[in-house]
Order: sequence, then structure tokens, then C-alpha cells
Amino acid sequence: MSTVRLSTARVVAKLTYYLLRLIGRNASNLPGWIALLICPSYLELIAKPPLCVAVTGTNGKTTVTNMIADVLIDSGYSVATNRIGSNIASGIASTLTTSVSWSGKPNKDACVLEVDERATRLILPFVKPGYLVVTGLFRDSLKRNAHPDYIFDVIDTYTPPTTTLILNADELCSARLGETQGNQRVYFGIEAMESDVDSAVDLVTDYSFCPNCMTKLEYAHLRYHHIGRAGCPACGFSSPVPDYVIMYVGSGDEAIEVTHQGVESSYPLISNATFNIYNELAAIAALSEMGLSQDAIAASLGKLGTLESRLKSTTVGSVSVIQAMSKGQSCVSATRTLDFVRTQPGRKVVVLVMDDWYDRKKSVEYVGWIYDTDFEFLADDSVVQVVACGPRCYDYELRLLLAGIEKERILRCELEMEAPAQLQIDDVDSVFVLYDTSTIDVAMDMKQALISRLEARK
Amino acid sequence: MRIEIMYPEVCCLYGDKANMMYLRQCLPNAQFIETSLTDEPTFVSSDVDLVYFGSMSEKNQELVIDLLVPYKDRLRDLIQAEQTAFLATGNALEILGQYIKREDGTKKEALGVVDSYAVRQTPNRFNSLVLGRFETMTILGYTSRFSHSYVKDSSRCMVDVEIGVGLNPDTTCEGIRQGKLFATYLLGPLLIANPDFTKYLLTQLGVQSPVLAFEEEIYRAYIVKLAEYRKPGIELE
Repeated sequence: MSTVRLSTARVVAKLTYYLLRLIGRNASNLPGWIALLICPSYLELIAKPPLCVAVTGTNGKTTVTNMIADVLIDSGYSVATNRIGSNIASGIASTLTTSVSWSGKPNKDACVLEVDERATRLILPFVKPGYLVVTGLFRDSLKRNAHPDYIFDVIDTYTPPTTTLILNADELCSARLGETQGNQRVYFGIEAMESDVDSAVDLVTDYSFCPNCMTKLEYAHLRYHHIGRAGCPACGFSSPVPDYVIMYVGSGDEAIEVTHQGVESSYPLISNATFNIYNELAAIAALSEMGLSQDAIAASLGKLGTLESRLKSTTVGSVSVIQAMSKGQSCVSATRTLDFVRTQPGRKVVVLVMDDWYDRKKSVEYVGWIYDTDFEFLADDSVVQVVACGPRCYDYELRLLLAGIEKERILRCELEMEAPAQLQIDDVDSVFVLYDTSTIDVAMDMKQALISRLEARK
Repeated sequence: MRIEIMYPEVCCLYGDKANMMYLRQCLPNAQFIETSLTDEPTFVSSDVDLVYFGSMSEKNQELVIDLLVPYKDRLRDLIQAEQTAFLATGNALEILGQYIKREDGTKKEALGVVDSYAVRQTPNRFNSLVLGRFETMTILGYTSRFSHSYVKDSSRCMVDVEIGVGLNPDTTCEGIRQGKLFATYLLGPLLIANPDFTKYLLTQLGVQSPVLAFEEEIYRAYIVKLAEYRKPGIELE
């Protein structure tokens, strides 16, 4: 019976896939949704390519998935990946549908699957990937993900014991995955960076105490939030020793030297943002474990070029208007963007367009996360004005006041499109428009209106 | 005035730290004591005016209970004496109860200083806007949790819910009030979202005619949000 269901599901899913592609759709979700409806065991029963790698984590999973897939493709592998599609069970089922023939035999060498961290429980036990890369676990949306300990438990419980884990040694939550089941674990990490600090600078620093004896951990290096190399002065507990390690990253470096088993290898640095260096290192560790040579990985990474920036900048006269992605409901993502903004030169106006678009239409967004976000970074002389936009602007105003930003430097615009006409442009070098994934359209409209105003002034 | 913040390393999820961030602005002359996991709580051996517990992970609930069990008699005495105020937000409410029933049916004995118990239902997550009455005030906020709580004595109810859910789906009772103890499932910036309640809490701490930090702005945000919560057809989750 299960064979009949599987065959039917596969054929219907493939038909759906080709029909959707014919009309120009991505077909990244519906074929898998139908397949799972017909055959609930589809993910378990469908044949998998010989090489199967999954990537999960709070941030960076799309970047790492794409890097691994691109290097494999450049190295001659045929690859099925969900880079443009859904990362929950139906999306994975759709992707796996494209990795088999009509008769059900694998027709790809590899699958590279981005997996939503909460959805791992519905995917990993059935897909049984050979490798699981975990970029790191941080606080995210409380509605869906609760807290990192919960996500840790989900991934830890549902990862098959046969899966090799590729883990970030510098992130103490995910670094402990696979301990109970005894999974093979491979760690990556960065020994030191020019930008390292000695003590916590962010409001949220989870995992600050020893999991064995509760003593406050001491960090040899701290980068952001709880990312760094920690040790317990009381019981000797420490971050794992990385198998793939970058000994030092300087601010102007264009390459990274990765040491593995005593051998140092050079790779092009494709983005100098710290979180992207970790992403690249995760991909290098995973690809190396899959058996690709250093030369092949380095050559392929070199062809990728610089990662597409989440910044889009336009300069009119002497003023740059910069759109910067700042994921709402996610204090870590937002804090990293605010940290970036504060380090940029010149006199700045910062426009916050981070209200959740879906909540604003039907509900009232819970904005507790803004109190875990370091708006204190904007209490800097270089930030001449902060513009709080959208229905939650009154909440943002309070948060900014509590962050130490003077009342005179805060502008409230409940209607976002009033902001471009009202915000300060005299004696300003740049205007940063920080937006959430759901407010990208309004942020683009605001940017355009602001550009028009600047052009009219010329 | 002395305010003790319990275990800020772990009792700090969901923006709960906003409450003490704001209270520091309202009470610039107060002493704020952050009690670490390895410290003996200050309330054990000396007087404090307010003890605050914020939200934590379920694993850390059990850790915090274990740390506080040696002091539960002292906690009970302080609550009954009604001299020290206690504020618990989010699932900190559950550590004060009789027990927490885990997903596998086993029980974690809690501090037993209030007459309630909690039942976890992970991975089911319960999210809801909440609006209700506390004395003559309207309280608003948000709850997000894996569990529900049950109380035997409904006179201990802190908020009578008009919109959203209470301690469990079958009650309009939200939170527990026992003398100067205020324990609520509402999480995050409770004191910033509810200026009337914050003033009330300050009077409980002995502040005469309290004036809030950023009072104009905080009331403006409150009034806007009250109207939004009362919009017909609003989605609660």
C-alpha cells in the first residue's frame, strides 16, 4: 500500500511541479504539500541522493545552503536544493521530488536542504541527512520559536544519531547538540579577531553561566551576544576545540586561513561581516567533511564573488540613502544592524520601519523584543535623528527615550510615507532606512520619496 | 528603597528586562540588586522593598526552583507579612506555585508559596493578546507560553480578562494577586505598557503621588494601544 501511495504521490507531485513551472511559478511548496497529503510518509520513503546535507540555525542558513550548493555544482555535482523555496516539510518534499526520476530513482548526486529550525522535527528523522550544519542558535520570534533552549531540544531530539553534525564551537548553545546521542561532531570556530572585545556589549548575552556549576563564564574572546570562546574558571568547562579554525581575522583581510589537522589552507573571504565569516567557515567545514579538496572549495568560493549585500545605497548630492535589512521580532538580527549603523562614518539619520506588516493589519504587534535590542547604539553624537515609523511608533519612541536618546532627536511618523518629507536632511551625510522582510515595499517607497526630495533640493 | 532582581542571567526572556530598565528611570535613587545564580538572595537576610522575577526557559524554571527551595519558608513569610512586594512576569508565575506537571506526566515540585499548579503542553505554544480589569484599572499585555496554570481560589485572581485568555482557556482569571504579590503570565514590558499599574505598584512600595518617567509618552502609547486592542475582529494571536 505504501508503495502505491508513494508512487502516486511522486507522480502527482512531479506533474504539479512541471505544470507550475510551465506557468512561471517557483513550484517550491505545492508539489510537496500534495505529495505529503497523498503519502504522509513521503519524506521517509522517497529515495534520496547519495549525498544529503541539511542546514539549520537562527541566522545564516540561506547563505550557507547557497554556498554549499554552489560549490558542489561548480565541482560537477548535480544538486537539488531549496534555495528559492520553502524550508518546512512541504518545501523539502518538493525539493526531493526534483531529485528523483518519474520511476523514483535518484537523478541527482546531492541534495542541500535549508531547514527551518522548528520544522526539523518533521524533517530530520525521515530525511536522515548525512550532515547537518547548524549555524548557531539565538533568540528569535517568541511566538514561534520561544527561546533557544526550546529550539535546541527540538533539533537535539530529532537529529538521527547517524547524522554528522557540523557545529559552531563559538556558540555555546548549538555546540552542545548531539552530546546525548553521541553523534559525530565537527566544530568550526575563530580563534581571534581584530574586533574582539573583553566583555559583553549587548543587552542579550545568553549562556553567560557554566552549564555544569553555574559559575559566571569567562570569555577569552567575545564578539557579539554570546558568540566567543568561553571557559569556566571553577570547573574547567570550556567551548569545544574547533576542528576547522581561523586563527586570526584582521579588518582589511581579503582571505581567511583555515587550519585543519595542522594544515593551513587559504580561502577567499567573500564578506568581512563577522557573521558571514562564520557562514563561510561553516560551509568550508561541511564541504571538506564531504570529501571536497581545499583547492576545489577555494576555487569555487572564488567564483561566487562578494555576497550580495542586504544594503542598497543611493547617493544624491552629498547624502547617501541606505536601505538596510533589519529582521523584526529578532533582537539579534536587529542589534547587528544597529551596530553596523553606529560604526558608519558621518552624521546619520536612522529611520525605523520594522513593524510587522501582518500584525498591523489584523492584530497588535507584541514589541517586547525591542527591549532585547540594543537601541542604545543609536545614542551617539553621530546619529542626529531617529525616526520611528508605523503604528508602533509610540512604543519605539519610549524605547528610544529609555536608550538615552534625547526627545528632540526623535521624530514619530505613524504614517510611514510622512517621514521622507519631515526628516532632517540638512547637515546629514546618510539616511539609513531599517526595514523588516515584511516592510520592504514601504521602505523602498520611502527611499524613493526621499531621493526625490533630495534631488529637488539640488 | 531596595529592589532585588532575581537571577537576571536566566530570568530575562521576551523583553522582561524592560520592567527593571523602566523602574530604574522612575526610581533614580533606589538601589537595584542583581542576584546572580551563585548568590544567596538578598531577601533572605535583609529587607528589600520589591523582588522581581522575569520569564525564563522551562529548563531554567527547574534550576531556579532548586536554587530557591531552601528559602521557600522565608519567601512565604515575606509574602504573608505583606511588607515586601513581589512581581513575577511570564512563566515566573509557575515557580511560585505548588508544582509544574511536565509533558511526560511527571511533576516538578515548585516553591509552593501560592496555591496554583501548572501543566506544560510543549510543543503547543499559546499566544494571545490580553486585556482585562485590575481593581479600577485596565491592564493590557501579551502572553506566550507552553503551559497553563490552575488556581483553586478565584479570589486570588489578579486580572479579570475581557479580551484574550486567562491562566488557562477555561477561566477569565489572569494572574495571581496575594497581598503585595503580583504574578502574571503577561510578559515583556508590563510596567511600560501599563502606566496605571506601574503607579499603583509604586504606591505599594511607599512612593507618595508617584510620577512616572516619560509619563506623557507612556500614557500616549497606552491610550493608542487600548484603542487597538478594542478594535472589533482583532486577531488575538
